[in-house]
Parts: sequence; C-alpha cells; structure tokens
Amino acid sequence: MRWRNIWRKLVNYVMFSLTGICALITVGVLFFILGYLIWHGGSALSWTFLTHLPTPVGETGGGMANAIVGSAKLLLLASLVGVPIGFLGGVYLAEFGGQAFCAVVRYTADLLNGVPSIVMGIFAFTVVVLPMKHFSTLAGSLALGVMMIPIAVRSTEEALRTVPMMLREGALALQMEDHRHGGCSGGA
Amino acid sequence: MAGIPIPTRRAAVNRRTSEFVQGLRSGDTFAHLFTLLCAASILLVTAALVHQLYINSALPRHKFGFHFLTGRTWDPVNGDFGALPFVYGTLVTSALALLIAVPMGVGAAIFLSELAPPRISNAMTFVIELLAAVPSVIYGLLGIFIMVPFLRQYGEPFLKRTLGFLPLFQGPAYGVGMLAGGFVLAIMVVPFIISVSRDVLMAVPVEQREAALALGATKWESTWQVVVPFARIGIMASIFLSLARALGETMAVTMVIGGTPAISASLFAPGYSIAAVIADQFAEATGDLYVQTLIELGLVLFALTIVINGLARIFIISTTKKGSGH
Repeated sequence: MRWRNIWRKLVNYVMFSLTGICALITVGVLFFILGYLIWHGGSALSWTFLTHLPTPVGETGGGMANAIVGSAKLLLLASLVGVPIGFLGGVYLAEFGGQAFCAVVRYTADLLNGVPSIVMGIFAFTVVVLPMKHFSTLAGSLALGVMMIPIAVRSTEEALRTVPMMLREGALALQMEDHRHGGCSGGA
Repeated sequence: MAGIPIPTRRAAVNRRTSEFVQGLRSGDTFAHLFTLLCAASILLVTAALVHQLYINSALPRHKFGFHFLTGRTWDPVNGDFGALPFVYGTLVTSALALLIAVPMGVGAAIFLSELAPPRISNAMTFVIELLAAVPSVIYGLLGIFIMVPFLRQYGEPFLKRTLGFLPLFQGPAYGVGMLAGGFVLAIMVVPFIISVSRDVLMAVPVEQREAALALGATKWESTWQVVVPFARIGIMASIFLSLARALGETMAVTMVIGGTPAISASLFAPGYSIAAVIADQFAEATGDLYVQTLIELGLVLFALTIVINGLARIFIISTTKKGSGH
C-alpha cells in the first residue's frame, strides 16, 4: 500500500512536469516567433516604408504604400459583402427563425467556415475573373467577403443570444415593433 | 383545430392577414423578410460555390473520371493529371501536425488551467491567442528562414542517426519537405488547441475536482480521470478545428513543402499538398484542361473538408449521448 502511494505521487509529479514542459516548449516557440517578428521587423519599420511605393529590385529604399492601400480597399469591399449578410443573417437566426430552417443555415455556415481559403479563391475566380477576363480587387473582395459571412453570422447570433429576455419583453411592453427591439438587443 | 367552427377560423385568417399588412407597414414584417433573405443567401452562396466548382471542372472529370483520384502522374505538358500525390501530401502533413500539436497543446492547456497561477496563465493565453491571428504567410516566411535551415543542419541528421532504421526517416536531408510542412502546421494549430482546450478545462466545475480529491485521488488522477474526461468534447472540437485548418492551409505549407508531386515513404522527401499545388500553379496554368484540373483539385479539397466536418459531428454527437458534462 505504501509503495502504491509513492508510485501514485511519482506519477503525479512526472505527469505534471511533462505538462509543464509541454507548456514551456509551445509557449516558448510562440514567444520566439513574436519576438523574432518584433525584433527584425521593427527595425525595418519607418514612415517612408509605409508611404512610398516599392523601388525596382536592387535599389535601396522604397516602401509598400500600394500594398497597404490595396489591403484597405480589399477589406472595405469585402466588408460590404460579408458584414450585412452575415450580421442580418445572424439577427434572423437569433430573433426570428424557426427550428429546422435555422439548423440548416447554422450547419451550412459552419460548413462554409471550414472551406479552405484557396477554394474560396477558386470560387471568386470562376465567378468574377473568368467572365471579366482579368484579375481584380473585386474578385479578391468577393472571396474575402464570402469568408467573412459565416464568422459574422455565428458571432452575431452568439452575441444576441446572451441578451436577456427581459430586455426584449421591456421593449415589447413599450410597444416597440419586433425589428426595433432587435435593434435594442443589437446594442449588446 | 378540428373543433373550431369555420366562421371563427375565417375570422382568425382575416385577422392574421391584417396583422401581416400592419406589420409590413410598420417595418416589422419587412425586417423579418429581409433578415430571412440574408440567412437564405448563406445557403445560396454555398450552393453557388459547389455548383461553380462542379461545372468548371467538367473537362478533367470526363477525361479522367475516378482515375483522377488514383493517378500518380502530373504532366502538364502532355495533359496527364493524377491527384494521388497531393491527397497523400495533404493527409500526411495534417496527420503529422496533429501528432505533434495535440499532445503538446493539450498538455500545455492542462498546465495552464490546473497548475499555473492565474495571472501567468492569463498573460500566456493572451499571447497565444494573439498568435492565432498571425497571417499564415508569416509562419511560412519564418519556416523558410529559420526552421528549414535548422532541420537541414541539425534536425534531420539527428533523426536519421537515432531513428534511421525506420523508412520514415531515411534519404537525403533537404530541409524542405513533408516534415517541414508538418512542423509549420503544428506550430500554426497549437494556439487553437491551447486556447480552446484551456477554456473548456477552466469551465469544469470546481466541485468535480474537489470530489475527486476528497476521495483520495492525487491531483494528477483528479485531472486526468475526472477533469479531462469532463472536458473531452470541447478538446475534441478544438482538435477537429485544427484538423480543418491544417487540411486547407495554403501559404505556409506551399513555402516549405518542396513542391514535388511524388509519393515517398520518407518524411524528409519534398512533396506537395492540394492547397499548395493550386496556389503554386493556378496563376501560370495554361490551357483549359490544366486550369480545370486545378479547379477539380479544389473540389476534392472541398469534399475532404466536408467529410472531415461530418465525421467530427457524428463523433461528437455519439460521444455526447454516452453521457458527459455537456
């Protein structure tokens, strides 16, 4: 019995040390990555880097203003596609929806969330690039926007579900219509 | 409703119609319909996605049929394509990533939730979640500049010396290859596993731990036999999330996997994954057959993620029924 207890204590210490080592290794690697990025990237960061166009290969200086503007444009257009559909779809799931239809939409949103980004890229390619015959910010935005939809739907729904029923009842008691109290819960 | 006389029912219908009109006027029904439209468009988008991939891969589907999945040649010049090396590469790198990331991540999550002081645990989790948001191309760059040289000079020679009798660890050490792909993926998915698993472990009620300790269990026994089984569904969900990410990961893998459409037993050998070959060759593919073959590869990848997603759901549902904390 005594040996068994010693053995159990030994297992206790060994296993917890192992989890500690796991934590040390994983968090160490992750900290290393963050540190490496800040250390090497930080020294190259300057105002010119952000505001100048790239110079031809071989010349020193230059920046990446075009890429930053491109990212901003892309993000803006993508949000125009993804946020309204995702947000309003989430409102529907949380406030109006029936059981079966919501389950289908939820499942599809999860499925869409798991679709690899490269497949979204191909989708945008076939829908925008093939008919228009050239690559464009529009195509990129469509791909990004579609990727935004499931994330926006599920987080909107989750957020609205945490709104207490009392708030809705209060709004209805004040004779607001359904869609306005939907707006109230949106404040959460 | 059977007992209600007809005039009353008719009145009810009338009232409902007038309610509908009134609702439309005040905006209530409008809001309902409009949000319904948005919700339905999610279904439409997904259907459009599948439809587009399907009709735009007609050429190779007719030419190769199901042999596409078993073919091992990849010859764009003569228009002969087989997808097996890419499916193999995708599955091997993802499996390797999970093999490394799951024990490490779950172990770290147990440490952070059970042993580490709350302040340290919270600070570490903040950084870990920050890293989950780092774009994959950055992991790819670090993979090329740091990990690949390290693997070539130290990692792979070491594995060859110690485990070289296995066919997995034979052959020349290039640095780039399946092993590098698996390592990069492991580093990328570890933050997911740690942060989700830690959350579910922390959510296990403290009474469960106290009950186990009161019965004389050591802390490890209470953790491993009570807390972890209680949280297993959440941990499983985090693993499947990581698997989905690993299967579809594009840039980081493309940069370190070596880009060779070949199947070899050695993990040191360069390979290719589905996402990587699409990213690499899509922009410079010439001819309809070549482009459509790459689109069909996208369809294969899509099908793969759906199958994995479905299996994950079935697994989670079946284990929930057996009874657990959720």
